Amino acid sequence: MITAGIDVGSLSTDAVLLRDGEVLAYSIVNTGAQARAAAERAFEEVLEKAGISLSEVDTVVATGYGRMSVPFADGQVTEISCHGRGSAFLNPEVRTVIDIGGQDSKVIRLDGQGNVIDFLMNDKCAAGTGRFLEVMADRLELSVSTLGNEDLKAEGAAEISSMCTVFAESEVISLIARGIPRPEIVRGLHRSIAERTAGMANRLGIMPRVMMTGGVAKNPGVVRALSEKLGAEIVVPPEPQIVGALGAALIARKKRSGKAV
Amino acid sequence: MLGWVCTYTPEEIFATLGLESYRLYGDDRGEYAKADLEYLPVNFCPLGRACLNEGMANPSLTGVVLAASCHALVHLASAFRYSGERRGKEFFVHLLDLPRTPDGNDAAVRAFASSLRAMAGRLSSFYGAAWDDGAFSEALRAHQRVRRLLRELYRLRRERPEDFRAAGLLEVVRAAGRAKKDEFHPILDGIVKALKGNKNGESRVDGSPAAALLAGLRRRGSPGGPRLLVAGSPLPFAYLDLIEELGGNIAGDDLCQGYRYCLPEVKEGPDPFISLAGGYLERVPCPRMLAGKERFSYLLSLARETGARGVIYHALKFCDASLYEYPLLRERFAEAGIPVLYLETEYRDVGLEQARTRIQAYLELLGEQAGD
Repeated sequence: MITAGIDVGSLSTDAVLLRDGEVLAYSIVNTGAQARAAAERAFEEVLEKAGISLSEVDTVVATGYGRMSVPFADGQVTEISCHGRGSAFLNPEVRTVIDIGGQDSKVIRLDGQGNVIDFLMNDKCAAGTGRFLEVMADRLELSVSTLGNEDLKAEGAAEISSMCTVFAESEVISLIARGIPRPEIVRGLHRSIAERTAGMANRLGIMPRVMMTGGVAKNPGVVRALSEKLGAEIVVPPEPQIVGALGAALIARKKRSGKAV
Repeated sequence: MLGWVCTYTPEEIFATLGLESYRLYGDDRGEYAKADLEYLPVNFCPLGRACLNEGMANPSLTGVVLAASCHALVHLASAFRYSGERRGKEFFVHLLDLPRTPDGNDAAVRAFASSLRAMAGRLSSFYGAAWDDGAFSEALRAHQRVRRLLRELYRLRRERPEDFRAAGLLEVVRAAGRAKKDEFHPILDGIVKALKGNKNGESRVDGSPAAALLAGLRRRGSPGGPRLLVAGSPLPFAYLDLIEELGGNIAGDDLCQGYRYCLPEVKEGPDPFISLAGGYLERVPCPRMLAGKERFSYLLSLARETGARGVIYHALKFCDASLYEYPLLRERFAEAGIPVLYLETEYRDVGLEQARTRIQAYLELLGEQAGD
């Protein structure tokens, strides 16, 4: 049986194809301004990569904030359930998932079967998320994918006190003006995200193992800062950005077969 | 016309003095929608701000009574006073002292009775109205009859929450808070009879003010959805509709604009103010009262009685009472195996898509728990 999961996020749209519990292929595209077009693009790309045709796909489940804009989906499930399901599939020992995506962050507690038992989401604003890092990277003339390496060069961390994207940006500007080395500013930004996320995680209560998913988990600077702040080891899957789509594909399989994943 | 906000305001006093009154719900669309910004800071209770706008938009409003139940209402009293002065209007503002200890505490009842007596005195001299014991007995009866019928509506909803629209029920409670009780009683009676399938009730409702209320109350939901309890600060109606759209069945509420409004039972005694103080303080307390244990036990029993598998707790932004209560409540419900979803709004029908994900994920979680 082949199932697909499509995660239409605020910044990226990801698709995963699954055959009998094994990942056949995945794709990651920019969401841009049209959620529906992005979903179609991601789906076409993943089908092409796997070399299979649309008719071979049994069930499609959509997730992410644009989950309602995927006309070819057979069902819509929230990204909270999908990240939970995907994380448990990748590592059955996971009990806490920290997902930092493009515009929100969440902490999810799981039972031993990949079921969500509790969750918290960030406040309405996008502070401390992927979008926050994009704005800061832009100001520092870096790309978001090089922030992790820049952090590794730091000998200390600059203090960033505000978590509001607008105010933090002006703090960064004044740090630049004071001649603070760029790596230290980057580490300061990572620490400020870690503090905010750890606060939310501790409010819910974390239980090992902790897995981090979502695009921001690709940044080793944030992962390290968060691990230090939580005093816990954090597992990062090889491709953290597709965990939501993977979970959706797993739920699609469950829907189709009526069996537990 | 007098306005009031807090559920601890005994409307019976206004009726006894022959004063028309209505509850402000912060329904502030229109000309004065942003007038509050001239008087109150932006990080201030959004319900309070909306009530100021609603009050300022009503030219027949000649005064307000605000219970000193939270800081927001205390500041709201000042804002009303100041806005009256600025507009050169003689405007009645009364801040009603309210004790924090509920549950038959004799000193609290006497203290509240004395606040009520003082308020009645000020109202009489400002409006030139006289207290009349016969009118008081009549007011008690009229209010009691309406509250009983409202509770009957809640009972019917508890039986079949999938047939009721929660926002519609709150709309009926709102209408009661705005109406003269003897005029509203037959309307409400028609609604209750119609809902009970009484043809006579249905025909009485046709073309009357009750028809719109009745239409707003009805919904065809699925009886399979999880039953939920809604608690905390008053919710924007669009959020209630969203919960139902996503499959939840709201079977009960603990809202000051909802069920708590329907609860006071005032027994007539030798001293009308002692009677009122007792009736209002003995009702299920609101989060600002010092009644932690009793309140949580009540909410847990309400969840049991309504068959609720989940609780949606709403806090208005900057509402201290709700924000302090929430973590404690969450803990108590977790012990009872009932997860709580937290929502925060600014008392506006906005931010619905972000809420959609939270509510849907919460319903998925409840579904998994039930093995759906």
